[in-house]
Amino acid sequence: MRALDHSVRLARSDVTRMARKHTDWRSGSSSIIGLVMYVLLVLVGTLGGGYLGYRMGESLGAGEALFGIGTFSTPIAGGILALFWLIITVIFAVRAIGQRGTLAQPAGILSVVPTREALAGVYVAEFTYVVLWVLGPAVGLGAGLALGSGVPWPVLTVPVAILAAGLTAVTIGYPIGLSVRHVASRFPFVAQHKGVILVMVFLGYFAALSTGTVDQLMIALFEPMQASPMAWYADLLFLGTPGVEGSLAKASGAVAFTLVFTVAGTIAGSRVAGIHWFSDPALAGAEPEPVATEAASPGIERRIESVLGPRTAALITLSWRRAVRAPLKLLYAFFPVLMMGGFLADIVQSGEIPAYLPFVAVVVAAWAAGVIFTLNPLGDQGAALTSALLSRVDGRTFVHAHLLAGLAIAVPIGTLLTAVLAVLSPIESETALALVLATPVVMILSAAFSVGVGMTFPRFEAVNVTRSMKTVLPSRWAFVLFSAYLFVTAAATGIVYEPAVRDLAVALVSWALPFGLGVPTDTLYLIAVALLVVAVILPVVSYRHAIRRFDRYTLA
Amino acid sequence: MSGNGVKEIDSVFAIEATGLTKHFGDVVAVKGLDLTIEPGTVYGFLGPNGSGKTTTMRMLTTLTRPTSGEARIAGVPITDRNGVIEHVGYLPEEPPLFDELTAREYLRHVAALHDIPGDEADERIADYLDRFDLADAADRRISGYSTGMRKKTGLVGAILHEPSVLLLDEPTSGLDPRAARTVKDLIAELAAGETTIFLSTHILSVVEELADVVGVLHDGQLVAEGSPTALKQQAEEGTGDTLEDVFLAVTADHAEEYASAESEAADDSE
Repeated sequence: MRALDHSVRLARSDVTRMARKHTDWRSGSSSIIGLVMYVLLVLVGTLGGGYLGYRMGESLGAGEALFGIGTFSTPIAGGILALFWLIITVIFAVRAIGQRGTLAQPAGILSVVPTREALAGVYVAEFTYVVLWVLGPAVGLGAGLALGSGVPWPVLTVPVAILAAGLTAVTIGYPIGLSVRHVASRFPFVAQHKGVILVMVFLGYFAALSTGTVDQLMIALFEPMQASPMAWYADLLFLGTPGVEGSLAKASGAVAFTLVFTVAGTIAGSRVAGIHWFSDPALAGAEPEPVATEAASPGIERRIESVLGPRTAALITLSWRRAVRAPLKLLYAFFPVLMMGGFLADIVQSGEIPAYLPFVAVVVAAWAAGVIFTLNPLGDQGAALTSALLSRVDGRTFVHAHLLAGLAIAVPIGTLLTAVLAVLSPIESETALALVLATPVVMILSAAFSVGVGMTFPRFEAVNVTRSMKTVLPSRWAFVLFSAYLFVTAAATGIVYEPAVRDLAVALVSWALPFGLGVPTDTLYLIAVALLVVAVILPVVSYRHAIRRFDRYTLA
Repeated sequence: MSGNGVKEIDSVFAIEATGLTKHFGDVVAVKGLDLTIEPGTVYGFLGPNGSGKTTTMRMLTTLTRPTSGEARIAGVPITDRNGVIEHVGYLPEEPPLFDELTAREYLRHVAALHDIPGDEADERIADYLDRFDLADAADRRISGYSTGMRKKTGLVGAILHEPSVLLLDEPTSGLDPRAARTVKDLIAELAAGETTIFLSTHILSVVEELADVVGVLHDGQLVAEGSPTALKQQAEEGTGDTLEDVFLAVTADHAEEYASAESEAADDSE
């Protein structure tokens, strides 16, 4: 009992710290927003679950088709539940590969309690997070099902089944994830290139999503999961519900399965934790760095130096070198691509390039050019900012170096991408040529605007990009202002050059304005032209401001 | 330039400050600081945590603007950053390093920012890496370095351009005795070559060994200044003869003074 008490105590400390972290008003609006979102989601889940359960209970009790679709089938419900279980288990495995695979302050815990108790504490904490998210919706669903079907059993069976499934997801997923983490940590190559590997995994996952591979995988896994013991949770969940042909044996099996796998998962997890938590991590940089064989080798630096001078060359190659070795922060250069995931999936599957895509490519290229190295140049220097400020680097050199570092990479790639898409799309040749010529110009303007915004609103503290990895990202204000600039410029360009966009804009503005007010097309056109003029002037102003900002910058 | 490459100081004083003050909102970090430090001096800057030492260093290196007062580094006012940069080297308490780089890459980067020609930079870097036992680790990423290795790398970066005034914030913290000895020897060597060292530390033995002049900062004010010997002689009540005794005595006395002064002010306002 004392062992259990220790584990519960450790879990309580973990959950308390997490709760305080997410409810600390002093840390900014994101905690408040996060808390509000959590409450809303759980509330919606609970009420929604209640409604869903009620409708389901009514249909089941009356022997009708479920939601007008078809007769309820326990095996199908089992397959669906089992697939959800699999997804949740993968989530917990991924958490164990990341930040949750190591204890907070391990020296203080592992020198006091046995490894098994510490691991059980992690399990209890992870299960607590399951409860915090699903208990409300589970109770809602159970209560609704009970009310709808007219029997009380679902009030108990639904939460028990869902929480039991959550418990096994934790006790099976966590040791699997911890094992993967341990295997990966034994290879110095993995430790050294963790950032690059993570980016590749992320891009691979995104590609799988876009091409529908993930959907196909889910379909392929349905039958095997349906045949697995995880599907028995459906029998437990609907135990005693009229209209459901469940199996008491399978329901009992689900309970037994939960108990057996909780114990087995704890024993297995203890074994893995006993090895992993006490093993020496592979040291990053244990092998001497191959100085001349990667981006920004001394040869490249000398060539740049001969053209641009040593200080500019040093800053440019520094940016490249750091980006290659720690590419995680560059993921936000792909934000627009992520937001277009659905469109990309359709394009890949249809094999046709729509006419709007080259235009979108120009905007994406402008985004990438503006965020890579110029949206937080001061913050990116980190503790080494003092070295830059106390050197012979002046504002002009600092700003030029960051602009060139980004544009030298982004302009060729962005222009090529636009050219390929323009040629493959059904747009006219003249339009395609104009787009290709405009792309580098737009990218330069975008980068010039972003450097001023980034210098004005720097961020120095690192934020979690994944649960286990922090990096310094641009500030919210920098993101917002830069995004607003791109959006307004893109919209104004569309209004000026494309009649269909102009008509759409007129309709949207008229809809948004109160009292039935509208905007004439000509007026909107003139406003858009004015905005385009401003969009060209702003980057020049921003660029000059960035130079002055560096020259006058102080730490406090 | 002097024979050893250190830029000569035209002014009588390497560091001068008059009434240097810094407020952060209602908090007074530094109040009315006066300093006159001659070239080639090792000035030990002592003070409890939060006494204003780092803020003082940041003001002297132009990284923070004073609320009032003025200061000069090698005769150049701290309002002229470009002028001050030519003379100053600064090692903050957290070394200004890039984890993704190797030590050699970082030091070459710093050398380039100071316009040190490539071959000369490589020679100096090799010398210092050797001297600080960093040569074997020089091509490994800084992210894998110990605290001591990071400190040494940062120190090399601060002296690479041979400044005439060197400001060091806790240069020996985190170093093992051998490395600390190397740093102390380097400080002594630089001082002998007319480099002015402004050294902030908690380690009284470092100050005792190296400093020509010691200044004790407490609650933003300079409460004691003099050679280590003179300060020890001033130790009140004969409670001891170490610098630690002086430090504890002056900071304790002034804490009481401030406490009673604040109490009087509160009584007056009622």
